[in-house]
Amino acid sequence: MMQQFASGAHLAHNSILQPLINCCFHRLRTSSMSRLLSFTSQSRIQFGTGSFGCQQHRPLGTRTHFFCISINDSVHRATIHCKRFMSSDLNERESEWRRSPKTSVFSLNNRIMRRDRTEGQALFRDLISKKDSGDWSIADWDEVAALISSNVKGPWEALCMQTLYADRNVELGRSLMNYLEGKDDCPNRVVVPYFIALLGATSGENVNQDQELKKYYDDFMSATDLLDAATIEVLIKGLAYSSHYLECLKLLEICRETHNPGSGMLFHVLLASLRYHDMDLCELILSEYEQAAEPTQLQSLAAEIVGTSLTVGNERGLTRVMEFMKKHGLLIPKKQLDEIVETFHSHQPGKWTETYGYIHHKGGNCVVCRHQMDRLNVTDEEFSGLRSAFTDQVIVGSNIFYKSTPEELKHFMDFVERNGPFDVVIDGLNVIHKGPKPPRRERLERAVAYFAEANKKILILGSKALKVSASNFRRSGSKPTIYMTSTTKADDVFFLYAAIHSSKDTLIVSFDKLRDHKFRLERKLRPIFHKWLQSVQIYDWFFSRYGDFGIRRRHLFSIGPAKDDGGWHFPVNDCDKDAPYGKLGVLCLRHGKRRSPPPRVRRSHQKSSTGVRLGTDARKEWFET
Amino acid sequence: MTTVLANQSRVPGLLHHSLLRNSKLCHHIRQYLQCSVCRAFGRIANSTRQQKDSFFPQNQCTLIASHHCHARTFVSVSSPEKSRHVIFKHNSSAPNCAGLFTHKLLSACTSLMSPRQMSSVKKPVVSRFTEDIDLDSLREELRLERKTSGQNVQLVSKIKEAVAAKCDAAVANLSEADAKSLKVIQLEHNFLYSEGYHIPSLEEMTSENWLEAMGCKSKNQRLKYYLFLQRRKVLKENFIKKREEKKQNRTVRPMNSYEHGKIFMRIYESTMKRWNNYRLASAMQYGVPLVIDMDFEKHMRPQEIRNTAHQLLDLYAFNRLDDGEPFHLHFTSCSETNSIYRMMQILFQDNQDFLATVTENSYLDLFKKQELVYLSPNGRQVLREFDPNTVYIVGAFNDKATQEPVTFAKARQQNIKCLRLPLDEHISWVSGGKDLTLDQMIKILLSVKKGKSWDEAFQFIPKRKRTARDR
Repeated sequence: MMQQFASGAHLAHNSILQPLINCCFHRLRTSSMSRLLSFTSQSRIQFGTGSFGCQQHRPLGTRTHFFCISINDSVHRATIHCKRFMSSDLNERESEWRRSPKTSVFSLNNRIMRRDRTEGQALFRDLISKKDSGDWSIADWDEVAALISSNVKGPWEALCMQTLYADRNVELGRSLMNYLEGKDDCPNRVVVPYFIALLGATSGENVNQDQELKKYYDDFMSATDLLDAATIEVLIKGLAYSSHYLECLKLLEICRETHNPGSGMLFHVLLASLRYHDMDLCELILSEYEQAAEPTQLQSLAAEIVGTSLTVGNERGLTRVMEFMKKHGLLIPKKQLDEIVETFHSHQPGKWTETYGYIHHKGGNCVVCRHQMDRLNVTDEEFSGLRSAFTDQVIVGSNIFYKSTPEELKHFMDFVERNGPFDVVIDGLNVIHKGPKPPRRERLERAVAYFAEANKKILILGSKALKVSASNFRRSGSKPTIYMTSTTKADDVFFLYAAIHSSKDTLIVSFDKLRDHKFRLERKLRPIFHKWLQSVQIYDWFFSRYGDFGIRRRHLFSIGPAKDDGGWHFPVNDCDKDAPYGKLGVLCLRHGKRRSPPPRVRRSHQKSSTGVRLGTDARKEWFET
Repeated sequence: MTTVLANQSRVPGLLHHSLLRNSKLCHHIRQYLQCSVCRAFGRIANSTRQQKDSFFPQNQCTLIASHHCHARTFVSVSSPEKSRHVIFKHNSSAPNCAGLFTHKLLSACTSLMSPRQMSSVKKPVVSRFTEDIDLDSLREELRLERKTSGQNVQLVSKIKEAVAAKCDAAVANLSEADAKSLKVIQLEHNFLYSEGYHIPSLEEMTSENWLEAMGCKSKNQRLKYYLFLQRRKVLKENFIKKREEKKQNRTVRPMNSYEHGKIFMRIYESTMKRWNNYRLASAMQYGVPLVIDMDFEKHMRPQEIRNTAHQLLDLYAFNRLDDGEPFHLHFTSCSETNSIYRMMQILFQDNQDFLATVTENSYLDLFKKQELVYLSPNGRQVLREFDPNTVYIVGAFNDKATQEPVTFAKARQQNIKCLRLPLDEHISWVSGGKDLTLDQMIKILLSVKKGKSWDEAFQFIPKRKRTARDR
């Protein structure tokens, strides 16, 4: 194994290894590395032998850590040599390290796939590349069978067909099937499903190939009395790409006899429904996603959905799936969006202009095209359903003592009934603790003063730590209602209860994401809860240089995915440590060439986002949700 | 149920310190034993089921028995309200008596897990097939085998063999629907193996594995299970290989081969074990109690129960090896159906010196509520310093399956004070939850009991969870 070490500058030029290195360097996740290697070997991605260094900035004081990695060129094995040292003595340490025999070594054996299997695949690919492009004779296949059987455990023909499916080599697949059919013994159970998948994946609009696929499928089904989930998944991969895609529903039914079909199966059927403009099937699969699978899994598959829809011109289907994503508040990763842009460009070259922008939090306009986005709106019916389910599903749940005690809950319910409804519910401790340390009570007092000035009825939730603040409030004249719970960590449910039982528009001032409460609700209520919370939560606030409280960003408008006359808006998943709620970023895809945005109408009192306090009128407007 | 080990001369002290807290029963024992302890022992050891009624009032005790193999006398008494077991070390043997404690210990192993709400096939496999294994005969068989072959065969391996035989029988007698399901799962396994996954081959899969796979809900879960099986197999093989290599490379020099005679006294392992046990026995008389609450079985999956039992083993070992004064461990809520307790018993099978209080009652029956403090990562108040007059409770709970504040909720429900360790106050966490394993917990508690600072005690928390400043 070669061991050459280079500095971090080399990495920039090696685009293939970049994700490998990133993956590895993120706390040396060997399992991720192993998977990546498996992927590269399966996808036939070649990467050279060599060693690379990379610097990693980690928040460990002022140190910059350098790691060096050495990777050998074996398909399924890699060895990482890594060592960390400080940047100041890089050169010295690097040369020392090159000589050092004490380098720590992490051997990455591929734990998921068998080594002999991966080697067998590489061997088969070598044989294919060495052969001429002509048809393979029986003698050729005999040779392959002998060679692979001697090196690999398990059936050789399954390995070959799986490799051909991965390479989408339909000609050789047919040749192999003919060879196997020519023999007396029936082919392996794995071979036929993979051949069906291969025919489907390469069929395009070829009617003959569809018929061939159907023939093999019928033969396979007639010869099989039992079907397992793994076989069904591979069969669906083939059928979903053919005109016989409705057979997938039967397969899903068979699968349901033993367990619920997973996202992998559903996604292929969803693509089939888009490909063949079958809106009923599309609705069925989306409802299946909602009821049994997890809709968030669609986030990382958005590019493929868009690609399929654009290829067949199914705008209606695309709109429906995007509506579904919008309903569940799914944000699309940047990498997927880049692929979506490429897809739009490849299908309609020169027609689209893409710009990454954001939706203005106050006006709801796209800063790129000034398109007005829809305001988030929870209907009364939806809200009443949420309100009636909230206590039982979120607070009581399986054990009320996880959140509170029956006495405390009853006391609080009586309290809300007696003192409510409230206009603003403040998570007191959250406001006190947000911002630079140490926590300050003045922050809460400023926030209360801000809302009291607008004549809002305020409820503050917190622990006994708020006792001092209570006397301060009394002195200052702003008289918020204060409720002190015995449970400082589980007071979320209390302010959520107070808000939900006050009104639909009661504001919640808290930095907490409250996701655990969302997942306690039944599936159909989750998107409603998410939408309601987005529309009423104030999570981004600041204190000006004079100590005044101000609201910076709110999530009052939908950020898509949404289609309009001028094009599309896709929401960007831009949540990070600094902006855990995201920055309302969107990909704005417009018809035609890039144009300067229409002039923006400047309003008075719109400087709140830059730290200037809002006037009373503007504040009132800002509160109207 | 209380378990106490003592020398004959220590019995009155034992009774005074360990048993007479709140039990009428102990009063009867003391009344009986006060005059002549040795005589009493002899009589108890040789007594039969009928005789014991003459010693103790009716309904106050159920069985008095002894374990003849290890020259110990087990006195086991139970009352309608509370069940107590007392072990006295005694030199006299009583071959006529069946050992209740031992019997219970063994018979408990026969049902490793409690019956679950799942269907018959989906219940944890070991739980179903250990229920009616006759461990007494198994033990006898093992004893004979050890005599004849001279090999130290473990009882656990015998149990495994018996379970495997039962699994084979169960697979052969599956109902029609289950047989179909198994066939589908086997087809799926074959498909996955042909796809090249690093999983056991069809020949390597045992009936037990198939039955476990039938309990998995989805294809991905089954695949993960197969991968786990393969990984476990590889690790085991590597371990054996390494051990063999070490054995071959080891050169043993006999003790008498040193020149100038023997300059060091050799302390044998059995001696060290005796010292440790003595410390534990002493702790059971005078030591600070520490309650291990075993009442979280329903919150854990089988693999977590197994993991918890292993942690409890570590906890016991670390407590015993402590160079200061160990805790007097109280394992509470250990009913016969408690899976954690049974798994623990399996692991303790060959260890006869289990010196701790094991009871099916709650800690509320043993101690005053005011004395109790539940240690939970979700506690709102902080444990500032260790108080030897307080009885601390630690939950035997692995929270991989559920992230709910289970221990905190229980403390609140029972109106017991609930505290957390001052982790935030002393160390900065890099990542992960602030819940600790049981072995880390006992190490920390033993440290602070000895008067060490929290900073020193928290050195037992893995480095990966702490920032560089705290390492």
